[in-house]
Amino acid sequence: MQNSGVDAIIRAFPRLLNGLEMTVQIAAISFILSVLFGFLLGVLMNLRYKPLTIVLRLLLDAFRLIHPIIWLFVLFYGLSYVFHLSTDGYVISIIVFTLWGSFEIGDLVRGYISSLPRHQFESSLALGLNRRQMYAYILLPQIVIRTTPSIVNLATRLIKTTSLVSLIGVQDMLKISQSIIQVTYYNNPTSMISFTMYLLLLLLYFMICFPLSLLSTFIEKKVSSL
Amino acid sequence: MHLTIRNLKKSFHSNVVLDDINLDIKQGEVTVIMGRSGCGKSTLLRCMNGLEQIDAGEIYLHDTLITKRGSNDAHWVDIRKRIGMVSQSYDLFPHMNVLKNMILGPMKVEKRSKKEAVQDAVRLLERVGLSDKITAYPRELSGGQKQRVAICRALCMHPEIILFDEVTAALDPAMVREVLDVIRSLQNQGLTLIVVTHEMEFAEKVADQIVFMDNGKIVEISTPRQFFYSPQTVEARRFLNLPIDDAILK
Ligand SMILES: Nc1ncnc2c1ncn2[C@@H]1O[C@H](COP(=O)(O)OP(=O)(O)OP(=O)(O)O)[C@@H](O)[C@H]1O
Ligand SMILES: [Mg+2]
Repeated sequence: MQNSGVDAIIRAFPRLLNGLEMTVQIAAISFILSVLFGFLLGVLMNLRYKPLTIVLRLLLDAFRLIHPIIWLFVLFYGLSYVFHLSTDGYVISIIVFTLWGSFEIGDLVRGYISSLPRHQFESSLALGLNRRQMYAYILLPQIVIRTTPSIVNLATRLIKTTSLVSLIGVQDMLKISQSIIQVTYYNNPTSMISFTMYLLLLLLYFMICFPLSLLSTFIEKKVSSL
Repeated sequence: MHLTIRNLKKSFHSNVVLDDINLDIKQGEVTVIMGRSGCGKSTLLRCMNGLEQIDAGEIYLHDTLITKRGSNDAHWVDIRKRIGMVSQSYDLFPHMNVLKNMILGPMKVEKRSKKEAVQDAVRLLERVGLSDKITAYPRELSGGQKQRVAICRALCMHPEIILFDEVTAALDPAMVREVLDVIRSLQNQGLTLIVVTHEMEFAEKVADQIVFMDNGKIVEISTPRQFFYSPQTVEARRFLNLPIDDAILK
């Protein structure tokens, strides 16, 4: 029991909670912004304005094919070396995850709009709705219903992936766990704290993501009957 | 004249789909448009409410030119309030129940009060025998019921003209009748109806004039009696599977 590291974890628990808060904060802010920008992007990608479509398509692939960790490093070091800006890992993280999430959702929304039967657009117009009303009352409500399960699923992926921000020095849950481990080892080289700590981390991530996963399944069931 | 079409032309790229169309439609009459698949019937209807832009010619509603070049969206919104449309693919919005489908246009386009719009919708549904479906979603309705609701939705906007594009084409034979009966019932209300259909019996009984199209052109405009019993052109006789005698061929 002496070597399990539980006592060290209990002592450092407030710090760990701060880390948890940081993780949730980055994920939550990025998620909310992603939903807003994602819907906007989805609509823009459907405008059939060639230059815009090409640019967005390229960016979409860039964010989907290139791992977020690369984006984090490129922006984090790039901004400071190239533009001599002082870089805040927290801000960079939110930017990268917002872009990543926005393009994921944007592509989802784009795909769904283009799969909507053409007659829905036409019957909206034939009814006398203008384009803004067509989006507001006919298209967006259906897109929201259909894409919600995937969007909730994206939220869990965001939370998992935010653990990468520890690599650019953001004091998230993972980073703080690691520094607690280090300090404990330094004082007691035979401690088993690594195992205990990562086990706890596993539980914490699971506790945040599992309810979201349940929610996603639940919504999926609801939606499929519509 | 309620609707007048003069020298209308429409092509998709190099494919001429409507070629010099001239047509007069009188107020309160039923015009039935017939012709083979691909001859341009739907496109002609879609030109009348601005879903397609025409390349040349004019369309007048009463005496007002409605196809001015460069007309903006707002112009067509005004026209579409007066010229309703119901088409073959079930047009109802799947995420709204019957009532919501019906009151959307009156409330958002015509800015009428919800109470008024609901009253109107209830009255119309009663007339087509669908009062009990008012809170049903489109997926819970049969094809015939959906089309009757779609017709009521168009009526909610109090149009002067309604365009019907093969509204019974996707229906089981048993349901065709109930939908056609609703269209017939509109005939005596001063509405002007333009109906694309393959239902010969309906056309014969209901139409004031039959417009027969072939390959983007109107080749025959006549009364039902004349069209079905002594069509004047080879194309129409072929369409109706009538013998083509030598007199006509000359
Ligand atoms: N958006 C479009 N782009 C290109 N060609 C089109 C388009 N819409 C229609 N066409 C062409 O125009 C011609 C007439 O089509 P239209 O739908 O008006 O025929 P229709 O008489 O309604 O046929 P149906 O009885 O099958 O409904 C067809 O050759 C069709 O391929
Ligand atoms: Mg057609």
